[in-house]
Amino acid sequence: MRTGLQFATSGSKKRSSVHNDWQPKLGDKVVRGPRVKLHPLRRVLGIPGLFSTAYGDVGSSIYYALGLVALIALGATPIALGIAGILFVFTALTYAEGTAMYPEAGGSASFARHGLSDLMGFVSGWALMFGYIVTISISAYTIPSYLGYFWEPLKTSPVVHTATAMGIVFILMMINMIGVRESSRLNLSLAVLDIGTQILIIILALLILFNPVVFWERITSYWPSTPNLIFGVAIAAIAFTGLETVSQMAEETKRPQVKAPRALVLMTIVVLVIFAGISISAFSAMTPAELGSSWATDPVAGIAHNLSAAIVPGELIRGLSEPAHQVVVAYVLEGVRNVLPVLVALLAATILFIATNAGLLGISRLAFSLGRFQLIPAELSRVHSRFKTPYIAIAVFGLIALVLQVPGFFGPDVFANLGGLYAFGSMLSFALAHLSILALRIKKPDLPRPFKLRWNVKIKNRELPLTAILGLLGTGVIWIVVVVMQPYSRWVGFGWIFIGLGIFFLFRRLKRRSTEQPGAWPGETTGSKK
Amino acid sequence: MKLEKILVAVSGKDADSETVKLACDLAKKPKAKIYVVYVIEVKRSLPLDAVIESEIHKAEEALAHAEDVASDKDYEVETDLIQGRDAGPAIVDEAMDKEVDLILMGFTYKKRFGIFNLGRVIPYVLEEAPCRVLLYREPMT
Repeated sequence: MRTGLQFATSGSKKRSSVHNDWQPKLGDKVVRGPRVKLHPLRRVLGIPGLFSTAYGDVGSSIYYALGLVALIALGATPIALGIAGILFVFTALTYAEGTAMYPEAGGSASFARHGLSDLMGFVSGWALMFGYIVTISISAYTIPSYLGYFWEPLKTSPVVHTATAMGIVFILMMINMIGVRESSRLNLSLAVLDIGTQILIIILALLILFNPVVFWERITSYWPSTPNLIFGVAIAAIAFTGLETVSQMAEETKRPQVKAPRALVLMTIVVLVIFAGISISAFSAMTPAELGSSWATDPVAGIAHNLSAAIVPGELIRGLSEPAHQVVVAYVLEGVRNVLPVLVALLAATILFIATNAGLLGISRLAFSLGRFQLIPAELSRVHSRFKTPYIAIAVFGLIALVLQVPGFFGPDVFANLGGLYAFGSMLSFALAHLSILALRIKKPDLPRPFKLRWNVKIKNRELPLTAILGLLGTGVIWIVVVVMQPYSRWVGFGWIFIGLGIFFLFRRLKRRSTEQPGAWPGETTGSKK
Repeated sequence: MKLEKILVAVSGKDADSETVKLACDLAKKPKAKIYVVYVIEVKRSLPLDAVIESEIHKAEEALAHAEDVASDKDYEVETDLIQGRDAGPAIVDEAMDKEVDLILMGFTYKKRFGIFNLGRVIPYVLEEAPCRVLLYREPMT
């Protein structure tokens, strides 16, 4: 890396600091190697750090995914989420194998480049960027709904709602162009508070509201049409945003080969448990029709609202015989009743704000990586001389996220459309991740795999993981469903991909690089065999 | 006090020269090894391995200056440039990796909102470093 900058000769007391063309002369003694070492990165994250940083992204989806899925899948929402959950497990396992092999920023784009080709790596990265942009839009769009608890027009007026959401994206764009320090302690505290609040909601809902007969009746009475059920499963994929975050954070993790897969498995378990619990709580608290209409953009607020109304301390303490116990329990229940809706509103807004920011950070990192290796114009990866941030990438992709929110001024359809767009980008990216892992098993069977998937099918002496095959089929089918059933996602999504391909080929042509010629990526020397 | 390895964290500020001199003085008698490190903090909007030319230039100058100062004191130091998200954890981690006995850091007297301020890196190192930590503060001007 940067040889020519970092060597010193024994004879030179005062070195001229930076000369790109400097080379040691014959007889010169090089007293030390390159200052920037082959692995100059100081990786400090452990499993808790990796989990808490990524959970801000993964856990945020619960605040909008439930309402979005209910909007389409109605009574089949838990089933749609369950099927998407199974696919999430398969995808998480694929990411675990890929991230352990290649712990570098890029996620599925990196796997596709190693396993398939530069072009497929670009397509995957470009689709991933689209997913990030939609995550930014949808997270920001949901914040005003939760803050509507404090001022109703934030939730009820499309103009106020959309303008606020756009304002949030704009402010974060500006902040990130200047660059701010993120507190890992704050991330950890919020992750703990978030999980704690959700567990509290689940426990209270199970104790106070859950009735198996009513729950089952709500599923069957509001069963959707088959196309809606299929599309609901596709949309449910939005519940599992953030897998990429763990993969991207792997480059900051100590012993990523071991810790990244563990963090992925831990996250999968926590997310599935919380989602199952929140789904049951939602169906216990309200009908699927209410969930998909009045509370579509703020489903957890809906649960908290109904739960708060159902907590009647006077009735709940009747079973207690001791008067002292009655007073204490009544006091606690009264407190929970009053605090829960406020806590959910504030917590959801904060978590979603962080998720919007995480989306902006993720896309700027990815754009920088793609730009650095000449897959997209290098202008996008230009770093600001004073703030040391990729300000052009942040501005360009932040503006695209703003544009995606504009239809919100004219109606509520924007919410479902954003869900469809996310499914388009993420499913394409996930399908390519599965395909890449399978391709790597065929092309490079002897490559060291610190985390190797089990349950393999043996074909022509090659071990192919069953979970990756099923994941590829599942995510591929969902992607096709979105393309066929959602004209908005189809045209906007394909438009994005075609623009990307145009940029890729034009840029490559300008750079006189053929698409077959591999580019240099982190940790590799130029022209190395992939 | 056992003193076999010393880690000096430099930042390209005025205090660097005196800190390196102090490290050389401390190291001379026990013939301790001195590592000088400079941490480039990479913003979260960039990949951790991003090459930021201007920052590398600045770091190279700071490390070259540290070598010159040590050379004037007739001592040899080993320099390293590392990239991390935060300087504090990077310094502590480097100290643990190299199993140093002492971390030496220098800083310039400064006030923030009228109150004496140590910044965020020094308090982190003081709190987290398992080894001894010695601070050198520039005189008030």
